[in-house]
Amino acid sequence: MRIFRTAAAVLILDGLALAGGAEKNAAAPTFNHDIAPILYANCANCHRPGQVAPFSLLTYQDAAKRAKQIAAITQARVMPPWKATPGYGNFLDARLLTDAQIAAIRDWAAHGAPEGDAAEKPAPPKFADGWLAGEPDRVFKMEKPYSLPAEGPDQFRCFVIPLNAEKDEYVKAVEFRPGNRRIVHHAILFMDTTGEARKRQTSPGEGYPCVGGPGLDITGSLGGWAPGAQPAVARGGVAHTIRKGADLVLQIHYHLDGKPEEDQSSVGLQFSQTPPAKGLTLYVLGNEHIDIPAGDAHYVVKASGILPMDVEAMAIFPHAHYLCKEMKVDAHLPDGSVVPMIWIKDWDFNWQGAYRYASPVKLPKGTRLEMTYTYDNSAANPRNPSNPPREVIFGEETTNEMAFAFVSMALPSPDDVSEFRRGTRAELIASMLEEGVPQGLGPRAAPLQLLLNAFDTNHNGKIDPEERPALVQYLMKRGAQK
Amino acid sequence: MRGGAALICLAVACLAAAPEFALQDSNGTAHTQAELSRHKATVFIFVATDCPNSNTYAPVLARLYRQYSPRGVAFFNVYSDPQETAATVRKHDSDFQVPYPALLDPHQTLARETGARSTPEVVILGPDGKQLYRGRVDDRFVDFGKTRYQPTRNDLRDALDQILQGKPVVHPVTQVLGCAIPGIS
Repeated sequence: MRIFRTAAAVLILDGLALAGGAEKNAAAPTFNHDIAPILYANCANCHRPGQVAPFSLLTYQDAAKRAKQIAAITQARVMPPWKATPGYGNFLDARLLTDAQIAAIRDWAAHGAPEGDAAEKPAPPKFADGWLAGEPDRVFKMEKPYSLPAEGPDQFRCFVIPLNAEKDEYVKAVEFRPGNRRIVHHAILFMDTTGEARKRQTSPGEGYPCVGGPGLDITGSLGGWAPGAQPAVARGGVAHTIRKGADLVLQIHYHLDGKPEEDQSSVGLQFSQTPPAKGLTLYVLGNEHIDIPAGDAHYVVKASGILPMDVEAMAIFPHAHYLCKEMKVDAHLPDGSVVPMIWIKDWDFNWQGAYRYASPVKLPKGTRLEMTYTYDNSAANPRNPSNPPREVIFGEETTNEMAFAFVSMALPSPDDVSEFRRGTRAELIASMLEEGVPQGLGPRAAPLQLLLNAFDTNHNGKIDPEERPALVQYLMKRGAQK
Repeated sequence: MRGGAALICLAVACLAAAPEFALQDSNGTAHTQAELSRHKATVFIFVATDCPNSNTYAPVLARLYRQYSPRGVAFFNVYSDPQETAATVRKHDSDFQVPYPALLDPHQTLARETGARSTPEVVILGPDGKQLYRGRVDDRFVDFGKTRYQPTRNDLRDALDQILQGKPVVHPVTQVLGCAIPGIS
C-alpha cells in the first residue's frame, strides 16, 4: 500500500511538473507584454527618477536586474505599500496588486525575466510635472529650507505656515508638493487656530519635532499626502474650512537616505466662494490609558465611542507608534450590523497615512465605533525603540505609544458641527460612567459622581443603557448653554 | 573557470582560494590583489548607487573607516553592476561623502571570487588574501519592509576588532539583507 501510494504521488507530481513545464513554454510572461503594464500602473509613480523610491522601474534593464527581488517583495505584499487588509473597508487609491499580477511577476522572474517582443512594449507613463489639480489660488511654502542629516531614525517635524485668512474660507482642492522627493515620506496637514503651534517653534520657519502629532488640540485638518496620492478635491458636498487667523501645521515625515539633504515643501490651495452644503469634522476615537509592561508581546488597547447623529465617514487615519502591531476599527450600527472600517494586520509606523473611503460610509445616530489595537513590547519585536524593552506609557515621544483613529465625518449641515461635538463629548462622559466613576481621576471624579447620583435612577452605581439618553440629553443642553 | 574558483571557495570555506583581481577605481587607478599584503586587513563593501540598503550605511561605514584606517585597515567600495560607470560612481560617492576609493567590477570578478551576492555585502580579506569575514555591516535589516529601530549586533565592527586582536572571527559568515547584485544571485 505504502509503495503504491508513493508511486501515485510521484506520478501526480510528475504530471504537475509536466503541466507546469508546458505552461512555461506556452505563456512565459514577458516584460513588454505582461510586466511593464503592471509596473507602470502600480509602481512607477514612485519608482521613477527624482521620486521618493530609491530606484526607477521604468526601463527593462531597471526591472530585469531586480526581477527576483520584485517577485519576493510583491509576493510578501510589502510593495506596493498598502497596510489596509483588502475587503475590510473599501478605499480610494488602494495600492494593491491582484493575485494574478503577483503570479505574473513571480513567473516572469522564474523564467529569467525575458524582455519579450519590442512591438508590444507599452509607452512609459506620463506624469504631470506641475500641480495635478490645476493651478492653485494660493501657494503656501515652508518659510525656509530645512536641513536633514545623512543618517538617523526617521524624523517627524511640524512646520507652521500662516494662512492669513481674513475671514472663513472654503477649500475646493488641497495639493501638497514635496520639496525633496528623495526624503519626504509623507505629510499631514493640520490647522491650528490657537496660536499654540507657532509658540512651539524656536524661531519662525524652524518648525518643531512632532513624532506623535502636532502636540496641540487639532482644530482642523486639510488631509494628508503620501507618494502616489492624488490631490484631495472636495467631494460629497463637504469642504475644509479655514478659520480666520488659522495656521497651517505641516507635519512632514522624513526618511533619511544616507546623505545630507534639504527640503522646502509647499501646499497649493484652491478656494470655493460658496460654503459647502455639509459639515465636516474630525472625530477622535482613542484611549490615552496606555501602560505596556516591558516584555509584554500582546498588550491590547480598546476604545469606543457613540455617534450622536447621522454621519458619513469620509476617511480614517489610524495612528500609533512603533510598538503597535495590529489595529482594527469596526462600526456597530444600532440595527446590530457591523461595518468594517479598517484592519491593519502589520502596522508600520513608517507607512501611516489617511485612508479615504471610496464612497462615504453611512453611520446612523447611535452607532458605536470600536477600536482594538495590539502592541508588542517584547525584545523580539525588532521595531521596539528600546533594547532591552522598557515600560511604555501614552505620550508623544518615539518611546511612548498612542492609540487613535481619526475619522473625518461629513455631517448633514455645516451648522451641525458644534452639536456633533457637544454630542460626542456627552456620549464620552456617559460611556465613562457605564461602569461607575472610574478610579484614579482625582479631583475630576467629583463632578462625575454628581452626574451619576442624578441619573442613576435604579441606584446600581452605574449608568445603564436605559438611563443613558436622559444623561446625554442633559449634557448636550448644558453644553449648548456654555 | 572563475566561477569554478568561487564554487571551490564555498565548498571548503575559502581556506585556500585567495582571489585574483585587477580592477580600476573610479579615478582610473589600478588595483590588484598584491595590495592586500600592505594592510592588516582589507574591507570590500559591495554597493550599488541605487540600493537604499547600501546607501543608508554610507555614514556608518565612513565612521568605521575613520576609526580603523589609522590601525592598518583599507576600505573599498565595490560596484559589481556592469551598468555603473566611473562617472556615476564618482558622483554618488561624492554625494554620500565616501572617504575611501571605489572599485569598478564590471565583469563581476571580485564578486564571484569572494562569493558576494548582495549589496551591501562586506568581505574582509587578510594580507595573504584569506577571507576572514563575509556578510552584513550590522543587523538593522530584519526582513523586507522590517527594520530594527537600532541595530543590536555590529558584525563588521566586531569582526575588525577580532582580526586586529589576532583572534579568529567568531561569526565569519552572516546573512545579508539587501539588493541582489544583478546576474549573480
